[in-house]
Amino acid sequence: MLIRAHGRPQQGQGAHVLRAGGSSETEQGESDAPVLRAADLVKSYGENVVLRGVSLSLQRGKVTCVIGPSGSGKTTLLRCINVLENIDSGTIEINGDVIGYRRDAAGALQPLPPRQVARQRQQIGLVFQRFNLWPHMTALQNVCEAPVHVLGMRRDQAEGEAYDLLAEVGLSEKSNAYPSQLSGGQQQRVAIARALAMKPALMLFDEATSALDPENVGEVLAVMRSLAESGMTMLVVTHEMEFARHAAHHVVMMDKGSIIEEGEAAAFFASPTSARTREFLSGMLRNAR
Amino acid sequence: MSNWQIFLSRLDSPDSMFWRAFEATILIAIFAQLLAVLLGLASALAGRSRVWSLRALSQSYVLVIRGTPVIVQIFFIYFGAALFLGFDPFPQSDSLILFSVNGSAVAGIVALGINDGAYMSEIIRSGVNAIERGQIEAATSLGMTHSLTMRRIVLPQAARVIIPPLGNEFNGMIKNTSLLAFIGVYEMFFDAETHYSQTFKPVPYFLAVAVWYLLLTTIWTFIQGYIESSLDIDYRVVQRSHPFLHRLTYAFTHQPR
Repeated sequence: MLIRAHGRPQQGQGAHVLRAGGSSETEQGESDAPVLRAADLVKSYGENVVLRGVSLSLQRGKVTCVIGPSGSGKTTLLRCINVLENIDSGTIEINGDVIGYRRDAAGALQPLPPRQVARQRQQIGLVFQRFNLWPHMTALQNVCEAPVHVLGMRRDQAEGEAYDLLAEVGLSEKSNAYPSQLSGGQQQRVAIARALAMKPALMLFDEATSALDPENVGEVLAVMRSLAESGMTMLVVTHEMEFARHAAHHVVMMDKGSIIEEGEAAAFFASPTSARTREFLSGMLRNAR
Repeated sequence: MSNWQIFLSRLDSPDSMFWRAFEATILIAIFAQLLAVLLGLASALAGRSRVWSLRALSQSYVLVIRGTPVIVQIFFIYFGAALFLGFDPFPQSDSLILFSVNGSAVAGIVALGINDGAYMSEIIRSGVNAIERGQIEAATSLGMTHSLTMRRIVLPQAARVIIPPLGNEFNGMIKNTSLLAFIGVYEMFFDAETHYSQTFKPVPYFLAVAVWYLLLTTIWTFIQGYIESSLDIDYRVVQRSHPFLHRLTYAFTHQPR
């Protein structure tokens, strides 16, 4: 039994901490508008064109899985949405705000100062393939770091919320453990809690289970599934076809920097139209056996 | 007195002037090292700046200082500063926090601090580079600004990488204070020099002062070993067994309650 140093009002029974933070009451009226709208994203590294005009929109509360072979631009797409990479052209809007840029008087896009981009990123949670927890902080400190220092939340409140999030991902026992004392699956669940602590409007998952030992994959996918059920808007790059089949509302297939097919999940897996998609899916199935 | 007797008496019963020189050596080394850490940190951060001119400033600082002899830098700062500043920044008597000191000692601290700052800049730079990019990206993705990321994520961890070479720099600093004899700072080497010029017996005085330097650096080696071994353990154990060192190193990461 873990005893906490300071008294904290208990949340109501059954209150879900995993929640879609961005969809507050004030935004209910415009719930049809997509949370994310990306249009004609082009990104290249020197000669190598990684994204060739990708357009995508995410509906509120829906899970979109991005699948495709390595090097198809899936990870770059997520990194561009979070402005970890700059795009060459195109626009990204979150709840109607252009991310990373502003329109000048002539309507052209101008890069925003880093401080404003940092503020915009608060709306977008990103979970990395390699967790990227901070090794000098405990699980709890990892989760409440950004709420305290970015949002200016009071520490006891941030710790209370962080503790609830860790409990929600099944790690209340581990709140005082350092990352080096946690398994890969546990670290990734802390990383999910850390991203959720900022109450993002949108969660991005970049192959969140690819760096895990097989026995740890299930626990992370379970957390992602329950997050999806709570109504979080999610964009998930994954090689887990079972997860895509059962948790996704919408599936996007990318190859060589373009979206070659997309559709509602059940239909997509039942009858993919493009030959490249069929080939990719059957390859994935063979590997799974 | 034979050479041997002089040597032993310098170790076993040095005069009060020696103890003043001994104290000056230690204090100058400490203050110069503190200045070096501050300059090195500023230079390392400037070297990572988005601003082109700051990067250029950092690079030229390191290039010029590492590329010229420390004794030339000491002379240049002591004799040259008045010329460039238009006033004498190092008057005969000066006050440094609690101590009333000779201006030449202040010039010496400044010169040694500037000199070692260039080396510290490279040490801190490599410490910062040792932090995985993914950790910085995680901070960025949560909306942390560049400076917040440096302060909360990068520097507390870089400190672990920086402290062993910082210890070596301080070892060098203790010995480099001897060069300040040439601008008239009364430290241990100057003391030995004074006795030599009065007696024309170089060997016992210089050998004795060598032993004193060796004693200081040896004591420091033990302190350094203690600090390093306590940093080498996993974070949780450090916190339990060395609360003081933990606070020292991770002061950035732990909030006062």
